[in-house]
Amino acid sequence: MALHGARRARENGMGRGFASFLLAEAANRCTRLGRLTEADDLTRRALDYGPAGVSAGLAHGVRASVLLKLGRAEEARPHVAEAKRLLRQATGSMWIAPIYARLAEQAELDGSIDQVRRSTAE
Amino acid sequence: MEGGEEYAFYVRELYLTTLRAEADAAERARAARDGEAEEAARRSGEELADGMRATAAAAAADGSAPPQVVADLDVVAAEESRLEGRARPELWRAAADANERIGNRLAVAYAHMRGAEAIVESGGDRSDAAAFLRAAHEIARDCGAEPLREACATLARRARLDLAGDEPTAAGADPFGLTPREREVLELVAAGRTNRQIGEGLFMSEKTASVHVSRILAKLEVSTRGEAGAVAHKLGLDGA
Repeated sequence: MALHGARRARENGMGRGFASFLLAEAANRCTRLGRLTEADDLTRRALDYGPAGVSAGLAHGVRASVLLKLGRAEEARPHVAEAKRLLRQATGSMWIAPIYARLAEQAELDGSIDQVRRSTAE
Repeated sequence: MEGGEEYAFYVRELYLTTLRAEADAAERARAARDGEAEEAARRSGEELADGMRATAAAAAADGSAPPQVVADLDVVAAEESRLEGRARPELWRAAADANERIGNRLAVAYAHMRGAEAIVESGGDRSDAAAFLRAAHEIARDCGAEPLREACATLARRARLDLAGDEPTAAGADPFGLTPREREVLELVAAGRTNRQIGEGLFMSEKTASVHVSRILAKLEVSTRGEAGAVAHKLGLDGA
């Protein structure tokens, strides 16, 4: 559904906002299903649209999630930071919780339990 | 989704990631015999587990919780057993089954890997452990989930479980004629671990670890663990 929506959004000139958002959502689902290569491609395409605001925050966050699971932690780092910056004023767990999950995941890979705890406490 | 259900759905990853990290921290503290750090990890982990159960209950208040949240509760129960230092393979099997039903392959692989570890720790059937670990490794490799695949390979080496021969247990030959197991022990000696910690890390008794260390010292023609570590480091046998 998300991919269909993304295609329609692109056809109607709404690539930057809706298509990007929907591609990131589809990538999120693919990640959960273990389809990481597909998710990698979808998040790259989502960011290629040049999204702004929460759509960009979501796309960067999902891209970070995919990269961390693929073991590309250094590539993930700037996406986590950008997602956090873009979503700093967003309210609601839908936006905020995934970013802190990424920060915790990153800290876990760094072997820093204190940083994991700080991310969760924040 | 709205209210508690939405909250549960979006915070679940944060809770699970942190709970997993706390269980790891508890295991490391236990191996290092650091009671204070273990207690801190257990306390923090239990709070997270309680939080996860509360959000799941909130999600179910106006109907049924999302299947993913239900599966997460099985993972929470299994992670709690790691926090407490109890090997409970059956809890990891339940977590794998619940995630299998909803197609969450990475969670299935993780649960299989932990299940294999729990079987070894509880003295269960090693061929079962190897089968679960192979399944986990295969999923992780298929998905390209490199950290998870590496974790499976590391467990295979530590517990001496066969991953169908695609993960060599040690690097090439060395001039001292160390066995693959002795190389693993040497890595830990070089990292400053005690015999007890080596035993816990490699699933062997403290006595067996001590025998390995004595043989290693003899083969390296050194008299102390520090010297052994230095030789290992110099020759690249310390896994660094």
